[in-house]
Amino acid sequence: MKLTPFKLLVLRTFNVTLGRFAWADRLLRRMLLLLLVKKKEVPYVQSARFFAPDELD
Amino acid sequence: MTATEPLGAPSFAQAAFASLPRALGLEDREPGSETRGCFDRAYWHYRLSDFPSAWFQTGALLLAQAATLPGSPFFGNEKVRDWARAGVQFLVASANRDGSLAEVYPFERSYCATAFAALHASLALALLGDPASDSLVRIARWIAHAHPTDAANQVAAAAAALASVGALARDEVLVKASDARFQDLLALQSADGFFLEYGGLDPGYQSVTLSCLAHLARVRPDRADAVSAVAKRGADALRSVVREDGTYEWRTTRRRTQFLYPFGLVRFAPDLAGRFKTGLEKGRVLAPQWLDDRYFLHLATDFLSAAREEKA
Repeated sequence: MKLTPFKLLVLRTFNVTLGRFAWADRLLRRMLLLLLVKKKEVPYVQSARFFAPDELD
Repeated sequence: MTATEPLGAPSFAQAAFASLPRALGLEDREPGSETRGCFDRAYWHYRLSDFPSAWFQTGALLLAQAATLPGSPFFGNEKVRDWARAGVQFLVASANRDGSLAEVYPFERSYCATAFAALHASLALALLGDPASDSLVRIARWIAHAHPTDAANQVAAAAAALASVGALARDEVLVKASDARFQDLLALQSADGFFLEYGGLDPGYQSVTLSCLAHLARVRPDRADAVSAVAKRGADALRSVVREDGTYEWRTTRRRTQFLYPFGLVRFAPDLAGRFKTGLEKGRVLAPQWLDDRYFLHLATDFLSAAREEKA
């Protein structure tokens, strides 16, 4: 799922309005965790997809 | 991976080779991925950015150099060649409708990024033995028609890009546009040989301009003498400010760059390249790995161009 300019606009609008409240931030985090990790066949991992020499084998 | 072999000046090649795994880690190498070939990790992986910055696609040239430079740990590797091609393909696919490219915000028409990206993409294709695509020619046409900036290094990049894409596509219109940009560059050279950067002097960008002129001289052998004469005046100006260990006082320059690009020095001023190598061996000058993701790709490609030039 790419971050498009429209999605960024929606996200930032939420961040600087409701997102100022801790409950809204918790809600957003829970939703992102569900969408990007728990519901994904291949969960999203930030610290991944670097180069490993065995890719050339 | 195999051990690296010394090549010409080992310091140039080895300093750049050390950055190759990092460059590969920046690229989306996943087959079938819609962002395959993108080197902007903040876009394709972290999703922190809502557009791919063309600036990162210089990674394609670095991989093409790595796959074609004898002594490289990836010399002759087909996968690396394929990843380099993917980088060029992603670049041309991400261009705006008019052929321009974005660097810092969506739909930006960045003269700087478009010029450097087109130059690097065309150099990559030349190394891989591939022809220029229509999309790359469209990017070059945008450069040909865009109004040049007041930064000499960007005008030099445009001249080199137009000549390089023109040679690859056998497009005389682009080659003629390259001559026009070269004339624009002459207008930005001061009496003492410095190329002006937004009205001021900057040794770091002076070396970038010399590097672009070195590419221009290589792809336009018919203009090599004229280009060399201009570049040597530029090198003379640089000689007056670069110390014996390749460093210079950057705190008082126009743009406060701290780096030097070595390719132009090797081609036009071997004594300055010698000073730079002394600094590199002593750890006094900036090497590619010292820079961040946005800039190390550019400096690493220049190091490999310098290494290739020394071997030639």
